[in-house]
Amino acid sequence: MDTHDCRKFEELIARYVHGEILRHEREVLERHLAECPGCTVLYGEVVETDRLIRSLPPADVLPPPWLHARIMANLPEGAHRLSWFAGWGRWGWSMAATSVGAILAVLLMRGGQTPSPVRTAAVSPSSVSSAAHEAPRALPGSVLPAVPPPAPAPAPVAVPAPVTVARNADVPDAAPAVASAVKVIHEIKIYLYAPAAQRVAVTGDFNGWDAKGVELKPSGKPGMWETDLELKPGAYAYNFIVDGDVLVPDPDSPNQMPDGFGGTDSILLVKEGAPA
Amino acid sequence: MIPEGRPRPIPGRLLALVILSGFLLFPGAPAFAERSVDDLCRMRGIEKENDLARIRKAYSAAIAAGIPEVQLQPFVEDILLHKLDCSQVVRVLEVSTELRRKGLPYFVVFSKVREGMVKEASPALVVEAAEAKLNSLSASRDVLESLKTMGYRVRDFQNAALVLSSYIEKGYTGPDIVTRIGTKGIQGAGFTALSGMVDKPVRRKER
Amino acid sequence: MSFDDDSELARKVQQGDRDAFETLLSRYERLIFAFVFHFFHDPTLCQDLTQETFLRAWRFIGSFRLEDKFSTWLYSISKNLCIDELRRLQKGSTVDIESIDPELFSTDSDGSGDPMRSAVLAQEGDVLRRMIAHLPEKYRTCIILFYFNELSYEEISEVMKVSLTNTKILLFRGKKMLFDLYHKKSPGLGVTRG
Repeated sequence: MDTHDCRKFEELIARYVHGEILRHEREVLERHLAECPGCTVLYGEVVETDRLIRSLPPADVLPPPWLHARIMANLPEGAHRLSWFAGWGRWGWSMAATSVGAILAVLLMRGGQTPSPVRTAAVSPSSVSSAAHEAPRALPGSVLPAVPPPAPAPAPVAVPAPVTVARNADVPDAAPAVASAVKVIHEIKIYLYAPAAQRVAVTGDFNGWDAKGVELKPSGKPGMWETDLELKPGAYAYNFIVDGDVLVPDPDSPNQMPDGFGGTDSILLVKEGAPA
Repeated sequence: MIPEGRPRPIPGRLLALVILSGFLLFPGAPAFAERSVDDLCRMRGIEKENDLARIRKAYSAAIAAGIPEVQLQPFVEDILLHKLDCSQVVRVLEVSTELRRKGLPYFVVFSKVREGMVKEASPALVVEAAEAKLNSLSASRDVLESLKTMGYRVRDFQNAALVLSSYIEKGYTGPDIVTRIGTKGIQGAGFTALSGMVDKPVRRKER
Repeated sequence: MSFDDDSELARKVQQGDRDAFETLLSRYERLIFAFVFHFFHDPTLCQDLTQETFLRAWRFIGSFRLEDKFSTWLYSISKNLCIDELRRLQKGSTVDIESIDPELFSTDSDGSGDPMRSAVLAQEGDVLRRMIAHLPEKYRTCIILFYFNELSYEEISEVMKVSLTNTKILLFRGKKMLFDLYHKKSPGLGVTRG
């Protein structure tokens, strides 16, 4: 076969490499390969390259944790600007009475690993006292035991329960090379801008929806509250508790779910870091 | 040296042996726990023997399935406090037991129920939310099993099931998720929350 | 995780919804970052181009057709930015595959003190990755999208604005070039790869 004829087979070989070839085309191609050493070599080289690329270990190329926030901070306002409170109707807050600040919460990881993606920002209204909402009753004894429940026997991978948090860091700081029963604890910093609030807390799956929640402390910047949560990898539904009696989703979290009770949960996803 | 004036502690092993033999020698011993559940029920106004027996049975089944009593008992206390009636208590226990038997994260139901309590949802809604979790988590398990047959490695079964259940509650069906992932891969199909929990050692299956 | 599909989110973004945009950002920032990283192997450039991709997406979301696939639209923006940047770097010259110096790919020659860079580059197979980042732009794009971003032929053809057949041929020729680079032009690489 001359080169000109071989050109016609290029596309066939390309599809053949990926198994995307019709039976009659395959017969034609295989006949050609049987009599054309040049195309056979070419085919072998491309298959080899395909194999080489596929055998590459995954490059855990992660954006730096602050990039997400930097991009959001650089989004121009104006035509695309819309109220952050679109979904907050059920709390009966006056949009006019609320002021908002966007804050960044960065997922920090211990042990100097490659950081996971940026955590969500948290924003809160300043005038929660205007909420026409009955205060939830405090429920005694609603905190789950501090010991993670053992993983069920049939589960192929034993993991600690995502609903409980080991407050005493009882696991090593190094990330396990493979999934195992031991998980790295991630320190998540959560900020909330709530200048009019007297008390701010966060509650959720991580503490068994404790009615008191984990308190946020004033961060030093006006109106800003913050706390650290130590979480193992997992998905956690959470809400903020503002001034002790109002449960609200994190309105700036990208991850929101109906909570099944007529409200909204924000979801915090804590992922495994890249293997060290 | 044992300080004077303090009772000499019973050696731990001996104590354990005594307690263990107590359970072995007296067949009625497991009822010890159940009786306390009866007491909890009575304190919350559930008093009919038939109702007590139903809750006792569901409670025992949960423990038999492997839910530690240290978690179960405070949970039952909470749901009784939230005024779930007998059938609702039984249903929530059955849901937890079924998840445990299937190797799924039953504590998600505990957490969901407690969330409903903090949010003062009606007992009926709380039970509904627990059942929704059972359905979505069961569907998640099917998805993970299918992905495994497609060569995916499930690195974190329980969290992967949890994340998938959220997608399912959002409206995706299990088969739909499997098809999308099969065609586009996890990232390509947009199920990015799953990455890290489920992966494919070989990037794309050779055909 | 948000569970709205991309086109629903894109629709919201068209109405100015920043939350919806942030969800899309969360969904795709890693993928776009990885794409750009494989394109240039330069972390700083990669951060800037990832940011610029999303800022352009925000600015031009009005031109996105909801019946199209958001991810391929986003990749198109990113690819165009990468190619613009490449041309700026090369000052209009095109890359001649034959002129590439295999020494470029020696891991020892990377004097960068950037921990991220060295962590990534130290991995086995890095030489191959860096070679991919030196292929002519269209072959490079195809191979990265196919192997690292796991796009289908159809999606690549949408991103690249070429036919399905041409997509396959680009991939095929790209791999052939890579083979030549890997096996013939750089006999010493086996040592430096360690």
